Amino acid sequence: MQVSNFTDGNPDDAYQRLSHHLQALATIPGTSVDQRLIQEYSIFYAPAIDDKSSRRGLIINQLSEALLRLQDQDPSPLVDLLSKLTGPLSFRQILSLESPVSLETLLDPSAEKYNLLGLGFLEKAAESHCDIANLASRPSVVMALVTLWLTTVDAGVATKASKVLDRLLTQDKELSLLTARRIGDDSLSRSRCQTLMWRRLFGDKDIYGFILSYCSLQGHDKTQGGRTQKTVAQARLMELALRIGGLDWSCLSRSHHAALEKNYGLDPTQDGFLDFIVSHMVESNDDFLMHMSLLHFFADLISNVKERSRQK
Amino acid sequence: MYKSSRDVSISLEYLQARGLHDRTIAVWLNSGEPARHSLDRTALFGPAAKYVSSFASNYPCSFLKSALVRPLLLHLFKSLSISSGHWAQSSNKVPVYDLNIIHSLPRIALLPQTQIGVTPYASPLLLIPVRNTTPEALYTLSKVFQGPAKPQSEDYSIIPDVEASPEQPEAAAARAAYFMYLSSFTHGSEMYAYLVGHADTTALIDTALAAMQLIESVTTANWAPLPSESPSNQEDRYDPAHAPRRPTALPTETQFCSLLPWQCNVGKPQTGVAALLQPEARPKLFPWLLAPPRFFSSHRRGRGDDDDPEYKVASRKWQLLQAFHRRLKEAMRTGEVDAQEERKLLEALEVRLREGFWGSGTSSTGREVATLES
Repeated sequence: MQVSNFTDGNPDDAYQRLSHHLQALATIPGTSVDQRLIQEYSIFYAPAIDDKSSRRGLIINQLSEALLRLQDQDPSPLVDLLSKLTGPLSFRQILSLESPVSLETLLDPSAEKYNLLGLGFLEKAAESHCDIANLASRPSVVMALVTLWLTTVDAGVATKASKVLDRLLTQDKELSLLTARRIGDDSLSRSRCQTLMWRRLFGDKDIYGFILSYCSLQGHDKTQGGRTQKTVAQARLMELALRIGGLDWSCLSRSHHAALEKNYGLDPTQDGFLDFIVSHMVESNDDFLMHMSLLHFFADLISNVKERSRQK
Repeated sequence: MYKSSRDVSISLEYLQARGLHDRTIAVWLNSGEPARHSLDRTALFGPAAKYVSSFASNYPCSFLKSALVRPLLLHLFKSLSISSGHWAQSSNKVPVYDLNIIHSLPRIALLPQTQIGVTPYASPLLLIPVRNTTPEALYTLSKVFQGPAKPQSEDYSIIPDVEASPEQPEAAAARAAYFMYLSSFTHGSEMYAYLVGHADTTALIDTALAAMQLIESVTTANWAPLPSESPSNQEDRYDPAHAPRRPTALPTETQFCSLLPWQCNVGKPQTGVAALLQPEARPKLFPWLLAPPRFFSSHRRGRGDDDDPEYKVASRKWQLLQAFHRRLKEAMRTGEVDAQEERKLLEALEVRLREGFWGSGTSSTGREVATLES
């Protein structure tokens, strides 16, 4: 067992050791992860990396290469270090990293140990309207986010994914309102005021269609496991629906893709997304647990959405 | 009184338009006979009750104007009419969800529907016991007597176009509810005898804490006087000859007193702290409040250990003592209570406070050996 001397060590020496090890992981099959080395670097040296040097970027690349080649070993120490190193970076900087690991891969529900890292990256996009627009313009990433949110079996990941979606939608609305006020009625800049994240979520047929199909009991997997997973997804949808309703009631209550919605029993002349959640997701008289969730949903809905109606 | 127009919202309108509002309430209203329902159905009663609570507390005006008030009160009369044995054992007959509903209602709906004592069903609040009781029951009473939260002046989240909030009538109804409840005992002092008894019984710690919360709620309550004369508008007028009265009408002070069983003197206390100084509460409350904590077990591991129930109870009592002292001082300054008369009590409180949490040691049970606290 190597005695650690990192606390008194030279950062450059530590970096050399780490770099050497990561290279071995990436190139020499059968190398085992030196947890201690990586953890110690993570605690003592990572926070102090000088941003003027290219060290951060170099380590990130090496980590990504190592993670790709890691087969059966636990990637957690490397993921933690990666998380620490990317902490101070903005969304734009993350996108510009020449990493072979894509956002979609990180968000894949089967890549459990990477999900939180991927969600952390997406959360950074909520900091500026441009970044949100950038993210919204990547349908495969948004689809990966929505898929992870509804299908993951890990409750912690689902909660985080829900928070990220909530934040993105909230900020998208708020920031676009701010922009609208600042810029005024300039048609050139009106595109900047649009809430692109909302459009992606509700306007994109694939994403909207996925939400409807995964949450509906129609044609569902009739096994107990499949049904339980559906109920869980439905509950997650209801939770986010409360937030959506608070931010934009019209979006929640209106119809978005009549042709798709018709497949789930919605009446195109009067029903909307909220009607799907409330009446058409569930087979009535069947799943009383779902009824309980629905009743809770109604109570939360009237408690949280107190906006007065504008008509009459 | 309850003329606020923020009594609907788009979300409520949506549920009403789709019939879901009425159907959900119907689930709860029909929950009266559990034996008749399947297991699945009974599981829905709790969430349905939560919906009713949310509706009544967030949309008080809408609730009071709706046709729900009378069936709701009838349902509560039924579900709360359980024997004292059931209450004492916290059996599953105790309707916890319905207790939640009671403290979510606008307090005006809890005021007497008919004269107390003429029929057993003057108000569902009167069916909540204080003697053989549960913590939830006592917390419900606490919340009702506490009155509405005072609006914070720095609360910038208040929508600018909101009309006069129903806080005033709610505060008046809270005071009326307290005196109504007190008057339901043969001797008013019984209520405080029971409460102090609970507060002293550390074996049932949750009930003890709840009893102290009730006393503190009365101490710091937000009350307002009932109107002194009837409003000119016929619609707003409280009319005891026509029961059930319109639930949005507050009785005047005189009308209210005529509903109570005993002789009602003009000049009932206007604030909670003053009410606690009355002969109904005083002789039971203060000897207990001024006594230092008593500890019975001589083999406790750590004195003042956080988990020690005796410590928890003593700690809560200390908080109550401080809260009462603060409030009394303030009341003496504002004239709510007679400063001259209460000077002695204030001094006694201050002496006790100066002694510190543990008391002076000389008044202990004798089992504690005096040691130096390091």
